Amino acid sequence: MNQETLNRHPVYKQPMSATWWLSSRNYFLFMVREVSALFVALFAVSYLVGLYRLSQGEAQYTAYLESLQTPFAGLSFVVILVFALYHTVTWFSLTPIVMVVRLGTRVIPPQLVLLTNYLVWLILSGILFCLVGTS
Amino acid sequence: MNEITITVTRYDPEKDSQPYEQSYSVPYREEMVVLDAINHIKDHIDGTLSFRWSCRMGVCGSCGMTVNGVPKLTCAVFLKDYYPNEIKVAPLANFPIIRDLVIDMSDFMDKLQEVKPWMIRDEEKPVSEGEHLQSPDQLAQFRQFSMCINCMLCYAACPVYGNDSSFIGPAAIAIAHRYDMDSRDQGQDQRTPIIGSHEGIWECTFVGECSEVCPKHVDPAAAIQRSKVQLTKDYMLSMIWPWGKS
Amino acid sequence: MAARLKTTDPFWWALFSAGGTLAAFLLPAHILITGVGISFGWIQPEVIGYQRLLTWLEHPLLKIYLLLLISLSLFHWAHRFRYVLIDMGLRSIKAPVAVLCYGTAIAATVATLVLLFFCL
Repeated sequence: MNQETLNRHPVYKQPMSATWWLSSRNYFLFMVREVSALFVALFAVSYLVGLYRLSQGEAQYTAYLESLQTPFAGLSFVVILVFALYHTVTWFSLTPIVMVVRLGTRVIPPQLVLLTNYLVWLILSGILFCLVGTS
Repeated sequence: MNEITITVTRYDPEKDSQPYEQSYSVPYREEMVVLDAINHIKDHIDGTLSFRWSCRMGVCGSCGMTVNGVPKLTCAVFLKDYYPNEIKVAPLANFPIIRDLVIDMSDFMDKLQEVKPWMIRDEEKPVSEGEHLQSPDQLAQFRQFSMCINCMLCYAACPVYGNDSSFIGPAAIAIAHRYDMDSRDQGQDQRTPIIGSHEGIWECTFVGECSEVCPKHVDPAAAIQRSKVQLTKDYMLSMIWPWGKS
Repeated sequence: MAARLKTTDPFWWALFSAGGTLAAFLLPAHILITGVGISFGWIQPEVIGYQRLLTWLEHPLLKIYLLLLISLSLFHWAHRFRYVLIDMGLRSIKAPVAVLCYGTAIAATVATLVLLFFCL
């Protein structure tokens, strides 16, 4: 609209609701997906804290390990795990959209990309279990 | 005769300080779409109702409105999917309202032109040399992104654009991508500064709702994310090898 | 070429993507083993006991692995959180928020680097 028209007929700017992300299922799940990054970060920070305690000596580190075995820690880790899993699942579902994987001129079907992600995830998780979980 | 209630947003800039709702009772037939109902209101009940429409078959992109909170082409939405419940028809979200269901689309038009949505060649091929040849694979690379009918449903669905109208937006980026992926086009370097600016692809947070509402399955979200990958690769390369192409 | 470098967005997005990918593939197992597993007693805490961990951390590859895991997870959060706030309607303090988010990630990266390569 040109300025002359705007002067005679001002347009009405529709306000954007601050709770737009609650107005539909898709928007809400998007926000959950984004918030999952916060819990990913919290876990990373817990590792940072662990490293710090480790550097402070055996007594400090043992105290840190004991704090991991409290009900509060247990609950926190469960919540973090749920969000981390949601991150993984949504990240994998978005990967085929973000990247078109080509072999020559052939496009690898998105379902295959998705499956590969999950397979690699299982394998890597398995390796971690074997390396860390067993002594 | 069965009837259905259509509640429509009304706004007269010369009389009203803000929009309000008005309900009408419209005869219901199974094969009717929302656009039919709105046309019935204008033709038989209230001739002051203003709205845009044209082809009534989902190819012109004119009749986009918010139907029960979701951006839709009103010529493609059947009353029977809502009957007997009330249907609320509002103007397309995220755009200023001129009157009733008519929105100001000048921002969208500006953005569309900004991305240079036309074939750019270093040198035009003379007609005597014949057509540009393109394989089916080459066509497949950009075809879906060429299907945009400029209906603006994606802008109405995008919360990033809703919060900040400086965002170039899904359709503009999708059409830029369409040309960048076209083997006949040589204009990518001209479009990159525009879609690669902060108001371009980088404001997008991949909500994905644009692709959900697109009536032509253009998948602008895919275009945007793929552009992010491409431009990040270019950025990394230019960091390591600043004397690169062009 | 110069126009392309005007914005640093691709840099932060690259870190976000790398972090997101690492977190997606590796974090659930880490959380299950060293988090939930130990808290619920399914896995003995000795598995990440003091001596055992110090021995592991003699390997520079493991130091690099942990550095990447922690740092990139935080850059992933920083970029996403910054944009969540913008998506929620943040307008006036966009710049300080960006500095705070990326700054936190950078600080955490430096802290992790120092701990892993200078203290342990």
